[in-house]
Amino acid sequence: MNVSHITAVALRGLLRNKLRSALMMIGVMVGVGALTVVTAIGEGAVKEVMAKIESTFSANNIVIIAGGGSRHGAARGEGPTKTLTIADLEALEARIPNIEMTGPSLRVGAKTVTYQGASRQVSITGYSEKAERLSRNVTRGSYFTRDDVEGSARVALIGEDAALELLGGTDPIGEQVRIGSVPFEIVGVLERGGVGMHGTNTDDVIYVPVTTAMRRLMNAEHISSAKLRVRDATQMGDTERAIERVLRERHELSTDRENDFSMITPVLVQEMVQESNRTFTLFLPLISAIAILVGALIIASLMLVSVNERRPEIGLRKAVGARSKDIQAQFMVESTTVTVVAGLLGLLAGVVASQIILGAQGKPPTLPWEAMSIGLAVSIAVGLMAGVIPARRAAALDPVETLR
Amino acid sequence: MIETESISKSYTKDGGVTVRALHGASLTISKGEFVAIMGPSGSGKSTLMNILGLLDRPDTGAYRLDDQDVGSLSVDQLARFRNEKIGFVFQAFHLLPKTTALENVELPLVYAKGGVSHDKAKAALRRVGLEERAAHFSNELSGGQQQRVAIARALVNDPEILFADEPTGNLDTASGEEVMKIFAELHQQGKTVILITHDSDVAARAERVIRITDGEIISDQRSEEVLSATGE
Repeated sequence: MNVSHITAVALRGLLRNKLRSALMMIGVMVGVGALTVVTAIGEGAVKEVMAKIESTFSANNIVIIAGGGSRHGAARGEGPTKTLTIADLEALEARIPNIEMTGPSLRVGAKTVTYQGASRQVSITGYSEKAERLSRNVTRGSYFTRDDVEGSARVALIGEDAALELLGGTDPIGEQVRIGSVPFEIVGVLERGGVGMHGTNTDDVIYVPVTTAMRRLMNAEHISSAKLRVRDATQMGDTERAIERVLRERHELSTDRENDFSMITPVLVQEMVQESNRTFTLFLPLISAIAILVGALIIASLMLVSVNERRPEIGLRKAVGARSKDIQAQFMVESTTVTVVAGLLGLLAGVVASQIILGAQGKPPTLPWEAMSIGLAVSIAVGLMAGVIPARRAAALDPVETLR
Repeated sequence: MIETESISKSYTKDGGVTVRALHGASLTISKGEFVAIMGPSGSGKSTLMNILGLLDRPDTGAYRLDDQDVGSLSVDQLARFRNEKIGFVFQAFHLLPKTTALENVELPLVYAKGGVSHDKAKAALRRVGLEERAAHFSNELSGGQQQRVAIARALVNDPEILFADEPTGNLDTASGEEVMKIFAELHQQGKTVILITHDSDVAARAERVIRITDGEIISDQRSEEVLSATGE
């Protein structure tokens, strides 16, 4: 039993029966192709999300979000949302030694911003001068100063894309814009942030001092969130509990009341990431696996039909000396050849497709080796599986009956 | 070299009816003979050929081929025997579709100890005069040419015995004549040729005619005796 000869004959059969081969290969091709694309892009996407999350929620950061909801879930902003104040942050800094610095922020939302007659909606957020170190820096001009914040100055920082949309090519530094009906002077241009965690464009934004946002834009005494940096990340748990204690005390929450704020810590973030990971590492590959299985069923059924059509051939082979195991081997090799060829074609299509998609997203092309080897192994396994029953049927045929 | 002793074979058809295809058949065929087994359809001649050709086993009786009792051989051993000692030619040719003449002739070599050899296959095609058609696909050949390729396939392992089941049944007179000439040549070269047929003209080409009806051998004579007996 010469396996290389049987394989050569099987490949020959594939080429000479193009329509039948195409029908057989479609399922496995699509399944393997999809698996490759999903794995290649999924790996990249997960890494990107992880990097983004890590830059926002680095190991030393805690984020407090106003609004209650479950203690450990993501902030939902339910319940009273006007209870977090700058004074709270000052108290936290004073009373908890592990807190190195705090930076308040107030989300104003989309407001009409006008420049020399032209206006558009831009997302406005208020920050303190601390945000320079806690969030991101400016590439041109300068950040807010402490005086700006204390004096509720009407100064603004603008993102690159917002600047381009509003001012065209003009240098934004020193220009006047109106936010709503309030005039502001642009003092700095924010460094690029790309696509944010929630898919928003972080370069189409305007920052103003948080106090200005509170008093001049929103007439509020509260903030919407704060970012805290701790000195010693190993004490995160204790610090978290201390923050909770201080805030509950300051907000006069009785023991039966839930927190009216949420905290996001690195541990929580890791859990969230693992949760979203599951989509890429479990869910989508599972769907691809189902597609491949369907492909296997297609191949098995088409092979059964083929065995039936080829009864005289099988009888003849037995008449000239083929044993049952020769016939079995022949059909197993035939089905495995079909799936391996289909798998390779699917891999090729998948790799090409994933490179195109990654390229369009501006990411570097990477060959998904892991996906490719899994795809190939799966193809071989599927071929063997699909061939078992047809091969057995073929081997059991009686030459006397088929050669009549 | 072929010795059967009172072999019988029955089949049960769907519906539970048992058909006695062969009953008490005994014969001896020596090496190098040219024998025709003649009978109407349903007479059991194909059953007899299947048993002689090791494709089937008798229910009762003994069959010795080359001094070997084939009843004791396993299915795999029988396959090897067929591969090495027997060549088959069928009425319907049974060439593989979408396959060239050469690839068809090579088929028995796939299951032989020596493996596939283009030279052996070409030599076999040469013996039937079809060497130039080696690369033609089976559907590009005429009926007569296809049957000659089938004969080449039967010869490629150089077997001692050739079984032919109605070899000219699907051919016109001219092609049929070509094919019978080849069998005559092969017989002259020392092969044992056993033909199954219902056609008396074909049977006349053999040296010896064994007549079979309703599963029983009714006569076994030299060909000339047969002809003179029927007055042809």
